[in-house]
Amino acid sequence: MRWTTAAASVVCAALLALIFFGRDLSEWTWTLDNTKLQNFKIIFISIILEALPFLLIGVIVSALLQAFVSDELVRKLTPRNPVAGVLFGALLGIILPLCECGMIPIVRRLMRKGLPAYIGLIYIVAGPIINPVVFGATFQAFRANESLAYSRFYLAFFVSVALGFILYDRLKQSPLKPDRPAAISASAQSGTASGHSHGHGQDHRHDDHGHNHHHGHQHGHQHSHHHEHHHVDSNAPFLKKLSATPSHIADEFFEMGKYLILGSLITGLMQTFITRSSFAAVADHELLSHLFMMAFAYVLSLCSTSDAFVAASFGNLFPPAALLSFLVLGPMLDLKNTLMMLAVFRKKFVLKFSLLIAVLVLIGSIAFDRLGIV
Amino acid sequence: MPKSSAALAFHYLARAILLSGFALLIVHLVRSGNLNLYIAPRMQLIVKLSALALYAVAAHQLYSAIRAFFDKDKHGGPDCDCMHEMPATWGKSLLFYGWFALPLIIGYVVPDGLLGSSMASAKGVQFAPQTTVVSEPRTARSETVPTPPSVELPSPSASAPAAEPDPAEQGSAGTDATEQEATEQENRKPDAPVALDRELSPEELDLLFPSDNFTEAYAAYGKKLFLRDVVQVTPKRFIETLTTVDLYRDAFLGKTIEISGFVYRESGMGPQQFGISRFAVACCSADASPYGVMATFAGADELETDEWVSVTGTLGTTMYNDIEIIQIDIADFVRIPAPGDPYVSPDFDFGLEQLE
Repeated sequence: MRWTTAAASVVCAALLALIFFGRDLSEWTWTLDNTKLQNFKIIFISIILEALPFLLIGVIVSALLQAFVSDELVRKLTPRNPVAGVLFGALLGIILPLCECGMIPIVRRLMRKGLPAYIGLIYIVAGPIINPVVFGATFQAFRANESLAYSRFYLAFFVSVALGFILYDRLKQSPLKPDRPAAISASAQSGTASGHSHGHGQDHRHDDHGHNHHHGHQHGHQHSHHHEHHHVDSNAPFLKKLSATPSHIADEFFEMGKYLILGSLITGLMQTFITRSSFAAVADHELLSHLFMMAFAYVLSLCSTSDAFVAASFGNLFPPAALLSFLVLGPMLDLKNTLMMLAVFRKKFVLKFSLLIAVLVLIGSIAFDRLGIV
Repeated sequence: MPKSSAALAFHYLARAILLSGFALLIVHLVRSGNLNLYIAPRMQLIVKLSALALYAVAAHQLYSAIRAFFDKDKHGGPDCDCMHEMPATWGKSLLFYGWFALPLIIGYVVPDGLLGSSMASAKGVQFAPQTTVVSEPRTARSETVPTPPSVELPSPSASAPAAEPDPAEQGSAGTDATEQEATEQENRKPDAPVALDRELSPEELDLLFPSDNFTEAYAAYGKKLFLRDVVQVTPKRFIETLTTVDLYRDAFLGKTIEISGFVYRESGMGPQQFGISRFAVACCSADASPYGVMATFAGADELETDEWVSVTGTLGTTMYNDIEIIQIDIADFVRIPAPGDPYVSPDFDFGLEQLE
C-alpha cells in the first residue's frame, strides 16, 4: 500500500532529522517509563483526541449532505461568476467555521455534487483562518500586536483570492482523485495498487452497474466513492437515506482517519525530538526566518484556533513578519492536512497546490513587512 | 471475486472494535482524570461527545457485522446496498486495522506522564512573557538599569531586600521570615489590600502603570495586584499575571510573589537558579507552550528537576541570555504533588470583563 511506503520514508526522514540535529539515539533506553516516549504519547494522542470531534463533524455533515442534498441544489446555490465564486469560497468560513480535519470530507462531497473545484479549494485554504473562532483566538493571543492579528486575516484573504483566480484560470481537470474505476478494471486491476492513474474521474455519476465489481481490488488508500450513485436518485425513502448515514460515517472515518494518525504520529515525533533552540540561529536572516517558520507551521500541524498562542510564544525569537508567515501558512497547509488532501486529491495536484500556497504566503508576508503593515 | 459474508462480517467487526476502542480510550481518560493531560478543559466537552458518536457508529458496525454474517444472501450492509471499501487481503487488513490499533495500544499501554522539563527544554521556556504583548523585547534594557520605581514602594515586609540583579548574591535573605506562613500557604488568602504607610493616589498608580491601548488590561490588572500583600500567580491567570509583573516590573520589584510549578533547569542557568514553569495549553497538549519565571535559591540542590513546588519569594531581576528577566529570590518553598490539572490556559476573559 502506498501510504505505508510514504509512512516509512517519513519515519526515515525523521530519523535523519534527529541525526542532523545532533541527537543520539543511544541516549534513550526504550522502556515504557521513558520520558521521551511519554512525551510523544501525550502529543500523539492529544492531536488525535482533539481532531476526532472535528473529523466526526466533518464526516457526519458529509454523510448527511450525501443523503439529503441533491446535486441540483448544490449547483443552483453556487455562484456562476468567478469573482463571486472566489469571494464566496474565501468567506464561506465566516458562516461555516470548520477546521481542516472536518473540512476535507465535506468539500470533497460538495465537489462531487457539483461545487466548482476552485471554490471548494479556496474554502479549504481560507476557511480555517477567516472564521470568527480563529478571529477571537488570534486577537486574544496578539492583544498587544493588533497589526499582526489584522495582517493575518488580510494576508489570508489576499492569498486565497489570488489562489482562487489562479485555480479558476488553470484548473481544467477535476483535482479529485479518480473514482474507483468501474467494471473495466475489476478484472484488469484486481489486487494492484495503481488505481490513481485512471482518468475515470466522472464515471461514477453515470455508473449504474451492480456492486460486485468493486470487491476485487480494494486498496487501503482508495476510497469508497462508488456508493455515490445509490443516492443520486433522490426518490429513495427518507428513512432508507437516514439509515445509510452511519455506514458512510464509518467509511469516511476510516478513510480520513489513517492519514490523521500518520500526521499525528509524525508531528508527535517532531515535537518530542526537535528542540527549538537549535533553530534560533536562523531567526536573524529575513528569508530564512520566513521559510523556517513556514516549515515549522507545516510540521507542527496545529489547529488554527490554537496556533496563535504558539506563535505568540515565539515573539522573543522571531520578527513579527515571520510569525505572520507561520500564522497564515499553518492553517492553509500542514502535514496532517496534506496527508488528508492526498486521500482525496490527485498527488500531482496536491504538490503544485501546496507549492503555490507556500510561494504566495512567502511573497505576501514579505510584502506586508516591507509595506510596514505588520 | 465477491467477498464471503463471513469476511465482510469480520471487517465490520474489526471496525466496530476499533471505533469502540477509541470511545473507550476517551472514557478511560475521563475516568482516570488524565484527560486533563491531553485536552484543555474548554475543549473537553466536545471530546466527550465524540466518544458518544464513536460508540453509536461502533454499534451500527457491530449490527452490520451480525447482519452480514447471518444474511448469507446479501453482500451489503443492512441499510446501504453498496459494499464498502474493505482491504482486499488478510495482510492488508492486518496493516490497515493495525494502523488504527497503534494509537490505541500506545494510549492504553504507555503510562501517562506529565509533560516536564524535557518537553519544556525542547520547546524553550518563555521567561520574558512581556514579549507576547510588547513587540520589542527589552533586550537593551541594561541601558536603563533597573531603576527603583519613582514612587516610594510600600514594602510588604520592612526587611525585604532590595532587588539584586546579581544572582550570586541572592538566595540568603528572608528565609526565616516567611517560613511559617509558607507551610500553610494553601489556605492563605492575602487578598486584603496592604496597610500602606500612605495611600497611593490614583495618579501615582497611573504613573507606575503607564499603558497604551495594547497594555490597558495589564495595567488595570497590575494596579489591582500592586495593592495586594502578596502577588499570587494563580493557575487561572498564570500567563497574565507573569506578563503583568514582567511588564511593570519596576513597580513590583521587592514585592513578595507566590507561584507554583515544576522545577525546570537548562544549561546556562547558574547553580542556584532554576525555572518554575508550567505549560500553557490552549486546545490540546500539542500546542503546549512552557511559561515560567526564573528563581534563585541557596538551597537549589534540594530540589530535583521536574519536582512540583510552591514557592514564596521576593521579586527581582537578572540578566539571562542577554535579556533582563524577572527573577524570584526564593524565601521558602513547599513541595506539592503535581496538580490533577497541570496545565494553565490563557484566560479568555482577561481584559474583556469590567475590571471592578
